[in-house]
Amino acid sequence: MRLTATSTLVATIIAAISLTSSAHAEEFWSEQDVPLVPQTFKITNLLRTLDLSKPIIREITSAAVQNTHADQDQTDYYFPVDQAYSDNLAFITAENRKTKEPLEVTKDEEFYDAQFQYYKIKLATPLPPGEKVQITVRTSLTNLIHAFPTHVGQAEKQKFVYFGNPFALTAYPATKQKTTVITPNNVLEVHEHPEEVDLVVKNNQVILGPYNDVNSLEHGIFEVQYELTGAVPHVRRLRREIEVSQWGNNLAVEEHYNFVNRGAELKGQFSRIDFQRNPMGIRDGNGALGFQTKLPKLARDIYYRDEIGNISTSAIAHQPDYIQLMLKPRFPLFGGWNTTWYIGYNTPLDGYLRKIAGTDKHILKVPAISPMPDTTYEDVEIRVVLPEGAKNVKAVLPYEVDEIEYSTTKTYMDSAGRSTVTILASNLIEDHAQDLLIEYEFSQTSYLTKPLAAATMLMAIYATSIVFSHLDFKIGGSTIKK
Amino acid sequence: MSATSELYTAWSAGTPFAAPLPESAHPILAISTLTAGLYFAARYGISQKPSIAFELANTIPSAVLLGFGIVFLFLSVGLYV
Repeated sequence: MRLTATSTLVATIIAAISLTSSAHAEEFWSEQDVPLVPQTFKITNLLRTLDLSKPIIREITSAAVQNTHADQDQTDYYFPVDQAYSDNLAFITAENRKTKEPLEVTKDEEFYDAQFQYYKIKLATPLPPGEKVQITVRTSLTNLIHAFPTHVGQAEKQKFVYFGNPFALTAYPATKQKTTVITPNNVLEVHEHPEEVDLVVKNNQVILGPYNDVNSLEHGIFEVQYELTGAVPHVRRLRREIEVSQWGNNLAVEEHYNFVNRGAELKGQFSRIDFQRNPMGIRDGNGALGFQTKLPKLARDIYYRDEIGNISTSAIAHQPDYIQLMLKPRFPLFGGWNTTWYIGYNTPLDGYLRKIAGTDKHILKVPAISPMPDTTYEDVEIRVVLPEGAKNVKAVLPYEVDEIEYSTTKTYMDSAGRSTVTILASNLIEDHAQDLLIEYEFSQTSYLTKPLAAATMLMAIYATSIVFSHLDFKIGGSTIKK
Repeated sequence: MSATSELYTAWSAGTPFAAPLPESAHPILAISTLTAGLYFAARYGISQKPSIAFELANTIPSAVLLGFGIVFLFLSVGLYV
């Protein structure tokens, strides 16, 4: 099999790790694979589903865990993730499998391991010794699949290769575990290492296991090749600007996108004739033909432009709860092709801003990003410009971001400048379109800043005029009285 | 996470934002304040040898009315300042 440079490197790293954990080297290397977290649980049964049917890989791990501590109730369950995948892990949530109630997941800082990053899942109620609970952990991983072959024809179906661990990575030993890999169409090829890992291929599923008595942090490697048609949408850079105007009861949103299709690159030249004459080619190929996003129900003055000007190939459809915006770029985007555009709209502010009665505190609730299906966002900058006179600004998000900065911007009719919150985040996906909350203080007298600033400028002109009108610039002195 | 949830409950308990003036009033207010401001400006402009009191009595209302007029003008044409 032909491997690309990246997949060779990944395979070598994972093979090196798995070799160090193989049984005959255990005496010397075993301390590297002993988890640092307290060994207070045992997994009696684990079912993992690896969903490869979209470019963003979704991994759902359901584990029945038992408290093995002699007499203490346990509340913290640790879930390890390879450090090599720390840049790929976009989203992680956990829930109780029976009651479906969400569990709090935090990135663990206490147990630092060079190879694994632990996530601490807090159980809703402490688990008594000997008792079992079922936990489901869902993770979304981005940028882990590689197009293989790297170049395809215009109407050819693209294929991807994925390298993974046949064992679910656990911090505790598992009595029984099974992994099911789901691909969109029939699996093309599967390879495994070590060879004693047995697997079964059934149409579009690869069933790895069930494996009995698996150690914690067990590693192996397997490779799946499968067919996945369609573009791999990736936004390299998104700048989302939100401007709040309390005078005008308006929230203005403008989003600048830099988009690339990360699918297999086009072999040869793009043929417009083949593209227009062959609808099957459009269906099977990996060109990105359009984008969809949801806008608020009351959005108005919607525009879709790029550096050249207005892009007319767009449409909106009014749905009961939102407006569906369908955008078509100026040209179809095949693998490796990119484009930029920006969209914007205005909405009434009263759906987003609320005031705490009796105080000057205002709280703004806006979605952090507007979701585009199956899209990964590499670099996101969210700028919220608050009205002039906003003080004590504080922004919170339900997930971790790279940076939150507070600054001042000056735009139309500003004297003191407007408080601005800039949020920098990376590796976001559709699930990150949750609410951003910003709290600030705005007194009623701040409304007068703008008109009085304009009035002051005008008064300066009038005052100059008054002063000058009382000065005498006549040459030659006044009338000489004879 | 708790900071988010407590802010979220505070948001849900808050009263929705009410604009200081209804949006339908913006064009009317813009035209009326601009007209009044320009009237005072004109009164000052055409005055012959006015006293300082007369000048100030016309320029100050003119500046204030035109200031408000400019804000309402911006808002009524869609430039939400």
